[in-house]
Amino acid sequence: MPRKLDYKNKICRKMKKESLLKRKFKLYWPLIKSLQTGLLLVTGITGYVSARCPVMTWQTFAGLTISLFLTVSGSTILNMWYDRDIDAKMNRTGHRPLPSGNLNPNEALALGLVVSFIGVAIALSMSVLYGIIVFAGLFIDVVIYTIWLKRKTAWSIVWGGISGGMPILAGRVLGTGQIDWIGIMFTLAILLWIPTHILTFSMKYYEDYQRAGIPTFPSTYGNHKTRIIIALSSLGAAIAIATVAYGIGLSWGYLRLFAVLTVGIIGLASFSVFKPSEHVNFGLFKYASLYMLGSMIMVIIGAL
Amino acid sequence: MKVSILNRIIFLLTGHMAGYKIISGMDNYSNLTTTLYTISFGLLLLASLLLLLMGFQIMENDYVAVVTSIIPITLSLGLVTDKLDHATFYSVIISLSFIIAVALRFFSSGKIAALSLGAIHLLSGSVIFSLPIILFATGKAGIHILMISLGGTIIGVGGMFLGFLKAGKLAMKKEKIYSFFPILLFLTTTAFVIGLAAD
Repeated sequence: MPRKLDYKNKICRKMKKESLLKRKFKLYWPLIKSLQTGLLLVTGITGYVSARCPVMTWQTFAGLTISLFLTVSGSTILNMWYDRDIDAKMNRTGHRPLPSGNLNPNEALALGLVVSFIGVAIALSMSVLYGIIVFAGLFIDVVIYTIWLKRKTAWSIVWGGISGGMPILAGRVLGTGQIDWIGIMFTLAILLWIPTHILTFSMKYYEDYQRAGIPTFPSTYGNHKTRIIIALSSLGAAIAIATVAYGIGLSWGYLRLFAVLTVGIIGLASFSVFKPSEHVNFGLFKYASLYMLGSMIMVIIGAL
Repeated sequence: MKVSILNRIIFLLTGHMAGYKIISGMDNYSNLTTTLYTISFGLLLLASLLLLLMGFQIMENDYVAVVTSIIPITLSLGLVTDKLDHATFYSVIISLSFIIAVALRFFSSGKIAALSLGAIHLLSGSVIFSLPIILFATGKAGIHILMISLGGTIIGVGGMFLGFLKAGKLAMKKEKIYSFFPILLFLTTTAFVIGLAAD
């Protein structure tokens, strides 16, 4: 009998442990904004593959993927930790684990720091320049964008954009060993794409941002000017990525496709300025996101 | 009307099909033909992407009727410049007709503008339907070219339904017609891609 009880206790403990892990995972996963992190990871891989490295080992590829995933996730967790007070004031973000009180802030902070540290350490061990750029992305995102500027000026999104452009630059640097004009153009493409994302959200969730006291372009410059900025930045991002496609020597077929997709952005951007509506604005936002993801996939396939 | 998951997948497949043609299916054409086919398949790609992202609502936009008329124009022009030695006459006629139709869109009543666009669709559609049949019958192209005629027929029927719907002369519900549109667009694009595959 005691043996049977012992076995039962063991099973119980195992189940408790499993459910604890499952519970923690469920709480931690939303902290990393998996879609955004995934997209930034794809940009990093694109930057690396675009270098057309003659020697591409699975170890390097795995190192790139893991270090970028951990660092981007870490910076996102730290953002969530710092912004938990304003997230609590917004309907869109109030349900997140930290503002809803489902997760202890100290636990999130520790998790963010550990994950970021491991990510940067792996990156530095692979290449110093690569590691520095990965760290720069983390520093700009957490310290300059989130802690310093986000609550002070609507222009903070420029820094958010620069930090978002770091994974693709890092990937390119890991492949080429240097910072070249293609890496800079890649960064510019992401830098210009990010305002499309953030500004569309700040228009759609205007009241939320007002309640949280976050300065945004719509609240500072009005909707019309914001739409013009979204249109111009989408266009700029498309031109930058198309220039990169030409620069890395993609075939004419891919360049034709880039031209077609860019025409789509120009059309939607023009509509959003001259015949604005929420439907068109959100359409441009979705199209620009698909354009960016599609461009990355095209660069990867075309460069392989 | 919301776009269902299945329709989204069909639009995505249509976009891929058109994208594939643009990337890798145009090695044997002249620069002019390549440009014309790029425009027609590019518009098919953009149409499927915009329908996927923004829904059927965009089909009610006035500009869409003008822009979509470029698809049969450039496809028929591409066919003519690719397959016939004397393409100038048709090129001049169809280009002038398009310019007139666009001008009428801005400076005349809706009825006249719609009629002029209808005439362009009829002219370019006739070329898309009949030229492949003639080319096959005279042994100048393989049987696969007939797929272009088939594609033209499919989208022609779809276009007619949409036209009648817009004119208010159709007893069917808008939603019913829209529900067929994704598969029609996919079948058309696929037929065009197969039809234009190299001999």
